Amino acid sequence: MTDSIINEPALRSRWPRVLGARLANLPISYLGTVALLLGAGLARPNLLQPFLLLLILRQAAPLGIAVIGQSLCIRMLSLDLSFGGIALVVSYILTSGLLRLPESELIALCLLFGVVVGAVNAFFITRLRASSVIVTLAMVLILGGIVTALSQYRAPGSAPPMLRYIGQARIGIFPVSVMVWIAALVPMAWFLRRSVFGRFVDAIGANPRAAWASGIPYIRTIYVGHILSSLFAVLSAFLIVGFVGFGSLSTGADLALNSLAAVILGGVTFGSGKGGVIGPAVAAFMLMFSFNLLTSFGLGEPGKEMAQGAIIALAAIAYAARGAAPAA
Amino acid sequence: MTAFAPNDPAADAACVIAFRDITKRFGAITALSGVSFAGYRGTVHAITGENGAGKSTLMKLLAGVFTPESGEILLGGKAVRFGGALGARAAGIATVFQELTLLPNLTVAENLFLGREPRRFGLIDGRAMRERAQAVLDRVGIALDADVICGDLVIAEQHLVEIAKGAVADADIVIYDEPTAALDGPGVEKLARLIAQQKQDGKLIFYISHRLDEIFRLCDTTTILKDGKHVTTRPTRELTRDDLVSLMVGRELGHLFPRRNPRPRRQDPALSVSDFTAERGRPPVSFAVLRGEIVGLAGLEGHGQREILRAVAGLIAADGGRAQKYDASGKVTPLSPAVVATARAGLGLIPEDRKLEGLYQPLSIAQNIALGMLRRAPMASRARIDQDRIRALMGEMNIRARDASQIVASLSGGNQQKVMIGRWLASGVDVLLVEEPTRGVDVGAKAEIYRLLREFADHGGAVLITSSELTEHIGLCDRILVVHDGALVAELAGEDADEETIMRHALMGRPAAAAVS
Repeated sequence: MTDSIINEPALRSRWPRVLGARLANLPISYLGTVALLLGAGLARPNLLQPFLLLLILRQAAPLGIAVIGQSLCIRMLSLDLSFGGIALVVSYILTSGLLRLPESELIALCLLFGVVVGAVNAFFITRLRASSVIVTLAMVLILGGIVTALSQYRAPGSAPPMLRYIGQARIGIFPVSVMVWIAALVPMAWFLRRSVFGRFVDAIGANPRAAWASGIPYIRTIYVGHILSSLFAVLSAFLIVGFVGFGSLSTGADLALNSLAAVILGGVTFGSGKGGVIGPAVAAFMLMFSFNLLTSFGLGEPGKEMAQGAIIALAAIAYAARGAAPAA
Repeated sequence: MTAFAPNDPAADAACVIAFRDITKRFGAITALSGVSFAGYRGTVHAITGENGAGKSTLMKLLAGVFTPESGEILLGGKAVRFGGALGARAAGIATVFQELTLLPNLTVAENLFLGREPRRFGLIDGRAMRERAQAVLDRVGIALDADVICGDLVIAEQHLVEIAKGAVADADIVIYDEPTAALDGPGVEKLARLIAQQKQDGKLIFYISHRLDEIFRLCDTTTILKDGKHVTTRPTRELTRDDLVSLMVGRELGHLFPRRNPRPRRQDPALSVSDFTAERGRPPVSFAVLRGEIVGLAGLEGHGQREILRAVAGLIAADGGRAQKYDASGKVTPLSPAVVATARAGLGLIPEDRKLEGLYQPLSIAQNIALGMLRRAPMASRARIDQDRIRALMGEMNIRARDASQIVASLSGGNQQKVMIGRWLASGVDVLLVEEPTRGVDVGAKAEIYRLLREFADHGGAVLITSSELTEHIGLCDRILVVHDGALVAELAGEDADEETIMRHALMGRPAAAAVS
């Protein structure tokens, strides 16, 4: 009767719509990576050689590790822009030779430094209710200033051998740094999914005031999150210093912004409790792949920087556009 | 139009305003229904009634903040429809709101003339504005400099400026919404003088208040609203205090409430509060909540019952005194002013504003309830979520949803409220602190929420509630503590209490205090 006549076309047209909705809900990074790979396949098939892909993966490893920390912060409605400053200090501690300590102690010192920076960030954000953007940006300036002042006395030297090995060596064809990335990523993904901490992060991201009013340890969660974030930044700096082989005053300068872009492209959104760890990791690869693709098109350093800026801006716009949608 | 029908108040030249059959709804809730009455030139007209009777809503309709669903407002005999607050102001209606609306970074003069600054050559005439502002302040008797930045004033002074706004506006109708809530004695005197003057100038003054002293002292006419309906409008001198109270209250309880437990209650306390000052400047209070009972903190809005509950929950820091939690074995835990600690000790707060403080709207029902199960779990440990228990709770509580993965934001108010209660039931706390247990909840869900709270108490829990609905106290609570100006002025047994008695205490405070005033 009339009912079925009306319903039938609706049923038939449902499938594509459901599929479309599923696709639209996927992190941009999945679709973007597929599109980039297809594009490269047409224009620059050379880039798709397994060997080159692994190289790009190795380039993406430091960013990928920093992204783990950044996405954690964003899920708690916070932000960590202090990565650049952390990387700079870590690079200086490791390569300046200012501290004549064995390698293992230098590494331990760097990790301790990461804990302190994360705790200071969290302190200002929770106790003084300062904006995380301002706190962590100020942190970059302070740390950068300290390193600049110190480096007048001693220029950075070369990286410790163990980190050089991690940054550069490969087992079989597989780069060690990529293994470090996976070794950080998988347990963290599991931890966030299964642990009480992960639940608290989602709760705070969804409604910080409710978290506060229902007795979730809000302050402690923010502390742990920011300390973890800084520790991932330290680990990321290890890989950068190891890969480059020596310290420099520009180590990790674009880490914070790139990690932010990757988190956004990876589908993590402020306060929805949504967003895994895999989406942002794919996004880190996607960013590196796109930079390489641009290089293969003969774009120089300035052009690459402009393109990089444009990608980040586009990511932010896409994020804002999606942010408006989920209410529907 | 029947505006000039014979015997119609609107045909009377002294009639400034007439409400005719006004109805206003907010979603499923009818705030006003079929309200009709008139206001006359040169009178002070009290609008009174219980919390939630519709006083403020009615005045916001007049001030252009809301528009009615049906019915009309006749201004000088003509039906008007204001396109927002500015339209109402242009029509000669000024409002002094109960909450502060001053901009703290502007001066007193700038605030007084905000939006109607005197101009000269298209620019703001600062000098004229200051002079006129100072004249207004002097006329009202407010000893303030018009050049002072409002943010630098203390709260009582800011309220005086707020009141002066009513004097600046060249309005025919001035609405005062609970104007004395934050004023001290001399401030009230200034207000009384200003109102007397405005009355003499032939203005109509609407005075929203539930302070009986002020109504009898200041107002010529009194309109009483109840549950959004018009009860009566009559000369104040024809009313006694007792009339007023009886007219404000009284309604059928129906079968909304679960039966109270007839067996003698166990006498061991779950929560005790002694010499407890929730806010600076309030008197200390002492009370206990026993296992198996539901206790209500009743009172008019703004009298501090909400603050007492929030301070016990640790959400605001108490100014002094002690709160203690007793567990089933009698072990005492002093409560510290931190929600993390009170939740661990076994107290669960169900806040009035679900959206803002209660629920994780973008998360699922299961995720919301599961967070309760992690109340005492160490952060690094694995989150053990008993999905069967969540499903069982959803069934017991009759949460109507597709399944546990449904997003909370998509649920109705009643089901959201149940999720919030479910989170604490899953957490194993034995004291619930509930603000407005059924705000924005339909009648069916109300009955279910009352049943849940009663069952919680019957299983050895203790419940402390605040509610602006007197029937809720009477129907649900075993004991009712009436709060007046922050002090506990009466303790009533729920089964003997009636609205009139509660209102009398809530309005007049202690009998002794009432006699003095």
